[in-house]
Amino acid sequence: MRVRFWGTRGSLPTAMRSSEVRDKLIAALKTANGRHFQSDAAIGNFVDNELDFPVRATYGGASSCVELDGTSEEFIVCDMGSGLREFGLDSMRRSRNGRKKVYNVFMSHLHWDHIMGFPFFVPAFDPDVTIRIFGGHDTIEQALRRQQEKISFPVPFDSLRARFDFSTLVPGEVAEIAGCRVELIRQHHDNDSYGYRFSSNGQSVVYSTDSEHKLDDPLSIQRFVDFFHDADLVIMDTMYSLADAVSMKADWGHSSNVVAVDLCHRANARRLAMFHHEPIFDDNTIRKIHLETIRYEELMRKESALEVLCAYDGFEVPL
Amino acid sequence: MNWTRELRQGNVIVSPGEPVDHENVEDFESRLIPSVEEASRSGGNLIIDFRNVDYMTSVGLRVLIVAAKEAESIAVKILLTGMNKTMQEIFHICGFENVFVIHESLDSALAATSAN
Repeated sequence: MRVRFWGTRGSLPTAMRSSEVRDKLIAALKTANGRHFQSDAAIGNFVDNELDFPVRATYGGASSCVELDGTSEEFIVCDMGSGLREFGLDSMRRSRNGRKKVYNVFMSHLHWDHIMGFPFFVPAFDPDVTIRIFGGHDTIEQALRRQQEKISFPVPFDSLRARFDFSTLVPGEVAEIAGCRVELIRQHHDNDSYGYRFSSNGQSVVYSTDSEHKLDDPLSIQRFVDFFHDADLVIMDTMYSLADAVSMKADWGHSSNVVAVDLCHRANARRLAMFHHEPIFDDNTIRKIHLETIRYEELMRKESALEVLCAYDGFEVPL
Repeated sequence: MNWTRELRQGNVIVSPGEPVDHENVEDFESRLIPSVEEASRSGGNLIIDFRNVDYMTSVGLRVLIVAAKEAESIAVKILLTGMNKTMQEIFHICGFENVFVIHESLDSALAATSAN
């Protein structure tokens, strides 16, 4: 199984400003310190190996969209944030090489940042495509049709030529979809959200975003520890600091980096991917939070290590 | 949970005797929150001495925020002391440095309360 991140930003897509590009160039040239490179390959080697992530790259700004690949010939994708557009184009390229034109989409919830990519999902215009959309909410079709009403978008839902099938999943029940055993859990978020656990060939991935964890509710916490148990990868909303999550931004429906580590430790998960980055954070800030989260994991580790990853648009995790 | 408590110069000084995590957080909360109220009744502030707390997970840290809110509502100050390097790092990572006043020693914390 391989996990591919097409959109990792929370709440609102973001774009890097010119001033940030300039800062990265200055930092890169300072590190090069007048060095002369013999070839493009040598420059590439310098960029890849000697520049820190926020200098050589960016976490990106597309909103939530994560692909699980390798469980069957069909596509699996979680959420339809603005990252869905690029996923759609890439999946069409793969379909031209023989990949089955069947999409299985799992929705955490229907807030705007999780559905806004759908009107730009080009496979939806292909009559040979089947799109199955799953979720805990029974209003998914309504949400997608509504955002394509004339007042908001020029192309109505009924113009789409793909075959659509909407299914409501129930927490506690297990579904077998596209080579995966799929379970879901209801999460604390405005109008609810749902987390998913995908298991295939002895590997498990949990996708849990837009989920606030009430630390004064041990039964709820235990429910998530059980859901995350022994997962090979937990993709988790780490939008806020703990101080914000339990005070100023309590009930805003999101979690923190340290709660993510604590849950993963208790669940004996193998890897954590920090996800749903705060839109006001620049690359340096996200990198700083990533390093602090790695350090927190080291400080709190009791048994086996939890690998702390920080998702970015274009990031791939082979399991 | 091992827990010591003393009253000095009108201030309540409490000292949890072990790390705080999901195993003992209910006990921690049930002792800490009444200490805020006790400090108010005695006309002083609350000093939490962390000398025996090697670390604290998010569930324990949440209780500190609850205590801080309770203290603010009844005009009690919470001062922290005795924090080892791990606890200091945890506070920094969690963004708690701006929420609590941290003193290097109990004497320093006591001096700060009497200065007020």
